[in-house]
Amino acid sequence: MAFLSKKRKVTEQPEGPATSVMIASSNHASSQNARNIPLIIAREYKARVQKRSFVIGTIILVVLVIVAAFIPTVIQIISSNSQTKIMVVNSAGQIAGQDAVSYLDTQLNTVIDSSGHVKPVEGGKKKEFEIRAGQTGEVESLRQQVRDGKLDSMLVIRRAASGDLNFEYYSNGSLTGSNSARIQSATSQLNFLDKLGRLGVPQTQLGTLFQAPNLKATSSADEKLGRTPAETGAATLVVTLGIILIFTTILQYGSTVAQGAVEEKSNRVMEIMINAATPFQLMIGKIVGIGLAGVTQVTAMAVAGIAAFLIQDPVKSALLGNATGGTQIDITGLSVGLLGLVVLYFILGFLLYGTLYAAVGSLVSRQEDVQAALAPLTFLFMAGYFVSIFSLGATDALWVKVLSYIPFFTPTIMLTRAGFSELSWWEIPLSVVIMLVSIIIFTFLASRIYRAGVLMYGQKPSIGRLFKLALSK
Amino acid sequence: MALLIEDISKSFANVQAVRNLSMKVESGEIFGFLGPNGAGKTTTIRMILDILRPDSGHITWNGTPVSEIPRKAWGYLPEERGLYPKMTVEDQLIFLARLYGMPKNIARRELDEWLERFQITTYRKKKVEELSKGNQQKVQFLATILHEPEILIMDEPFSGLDPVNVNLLKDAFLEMHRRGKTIIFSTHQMETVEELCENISIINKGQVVVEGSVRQIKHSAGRTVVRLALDNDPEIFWLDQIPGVTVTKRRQDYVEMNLAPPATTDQILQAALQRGGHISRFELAEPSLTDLFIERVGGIAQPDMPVPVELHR
Repeated sequence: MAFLSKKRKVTEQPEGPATSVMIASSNHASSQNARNIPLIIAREYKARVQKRSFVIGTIILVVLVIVAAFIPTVIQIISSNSQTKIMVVNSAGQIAGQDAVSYLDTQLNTVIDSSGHVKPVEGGKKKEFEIRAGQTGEVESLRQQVRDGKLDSMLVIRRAASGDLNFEYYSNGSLTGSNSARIQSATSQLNFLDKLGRLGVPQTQLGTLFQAPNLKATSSADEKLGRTPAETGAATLVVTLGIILIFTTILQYGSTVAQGAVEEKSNRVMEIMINAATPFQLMIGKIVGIGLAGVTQVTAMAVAGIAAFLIQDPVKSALLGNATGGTQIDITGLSVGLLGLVVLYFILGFLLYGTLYAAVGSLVSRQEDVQAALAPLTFLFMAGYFVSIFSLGATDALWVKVLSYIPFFTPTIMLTRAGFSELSWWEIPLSVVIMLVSIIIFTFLASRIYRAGVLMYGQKPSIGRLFKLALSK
Repeated sequence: MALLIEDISKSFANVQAVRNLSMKVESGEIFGFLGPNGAGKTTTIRMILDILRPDSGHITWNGTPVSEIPRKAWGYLPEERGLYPKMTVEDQLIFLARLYGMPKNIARRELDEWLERFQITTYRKKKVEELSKGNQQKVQFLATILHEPEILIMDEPFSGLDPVNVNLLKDAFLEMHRRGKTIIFSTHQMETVEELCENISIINKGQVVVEGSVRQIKHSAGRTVVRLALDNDPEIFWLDQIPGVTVTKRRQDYVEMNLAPPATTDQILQAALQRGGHISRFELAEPSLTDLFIERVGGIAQPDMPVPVELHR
């Protein structure tokens, strides 16, 4: 008797064609035992989370999340420690009554404050550019220092016979990089000031010439939604992460559901399980139990991510002395609501896809056939994914609105719409109702397939068979 | 008080697996449910367990349709053995007992007792996949009986076990019998049937071909066989020359024959003595169940349909 051995021969079911091996279970007496579903959920959950691969995988994911959360801070710390050294050799004298070196120093070393205004770096803080004056005779030796990398760049300012300024910029860095661009823009300012000065514009007026303009920037979308740019930033982050989370988790744990069903068939434990419990109980227990294992992993990641996010600012101020820079993200009521939607749609989406995965899994007898059998489902899934990505840029388009009510796409597309556009009050409740109804319908159909499938061995599942089994009496 | 199967039929697509089958199993007896491979045993068992529903006919236990009998009344040992390989023996058995509605603490107490009896107490915390095949079989048996079912249905419970474990299992059988459980089991080992069963039913191609008590079935075969053994002549080839004698078996320890007129038992005995044979065995016996089985179900050495082989990882 082949028995749980890794490799073994198994005879076909003696009944021969098993097309209509439908387990009688609608009023199967075991359904009286209401405690079965929690028992099966507990077993399925424990079977997943106690696996070494689950524990190791979760640890790796948590570490990745923490690392990813710290990357911007790390980059900031590294870049704040590096200073660009520039020597300015000025043989042109004062430019519009100002010292060229100190003018460049204030123009290049600026920060953007929390209200979006450009300000000079406060005294005592570390500057991005270290600008010093060089002597006219030093040009060639400075040039050599730039070549040797002791100096980042050199700026030579001369006055031509015509009275105009000539600049020479010599650098060992990229000439199209942001540093070069900033220096070039500062030189054109100097040039402009110099010309105006020579034309006789008073110095007091020249001083205000390059002050930041009084510009108020507002996006019409934000205005319509009554959001600040920080809130929009938070919404974008939540929606993007939410979509990725919903998709990866459903894809991974959905196929775990299918594999679980196949496993029970291929090691024949199904034979005793269908005597102890109904196929419906087995299927629901499996979907919920495995879903909870998925939730456990996601929760671990979320907690790690939020914790890492929250300790960023203290870490930054400890290491940098300030907490400025980086993306401003405002975790407000809006984002909390969106997070709630992510959770809600994740649960609904998992239940919906879980029934399909369970149904397909129940029709397969061998582990190696699972992936092939799941292909159509994966295809539907990927379609939903790409549609969601495309819809990010067109949340108001009609086709996006229509697709957001199709239960297979609702979790991600409705989430996108909620994040990027204004929904009427009834839209989310309606989509939830549609999803609930379809979950009930698909659970019913899938449980019919499941109870036919669990004792069926050696047949290839096809879409046609799925329909036939789901609709047969 | 009986399990009554009345005139059930079941078809799958174009194959009729069971046709007009009737059977009666008295409460508290050990019943042998026999038949060649592919005869419809598993289908019938699944219908008794209400896993499948018959197309026609009724199955009742003490007058109640089986679909209304609580699951905990049944214990099922399927032919295709299977447990959760990664679960420990204890977790697995208690999980199953609880599915059948047995409280956790009682299940644990029962488990202690049975692990002791089967001498596998040390494997309690081991994963099932780490056990030997024989021990896995014992665990599978415990999975069938731990929840104290009234009716035990076991498909080939003895296959794949060594003689020591077969005896252990037979004792467990008799223990369940003493506790008043009804036991239905199928096997291909006829000696076990003769040893344990009072009544049997042999089915072939979905129909009952022989039924009744083992003694009655043998008796009603209407013939006796003669077994003769001579110490100094194991083959006894001269028997073939006596008119009316048909030798059916030449074994190492005896020769078995059917007698028809004009041959008589006296004549055989006389002939043996005349030829100076040292008679070590001479008996009149009913034919063995194996012989009757082969006789009634025909060429069963081969399964009646090709058996595809699947490799499982």
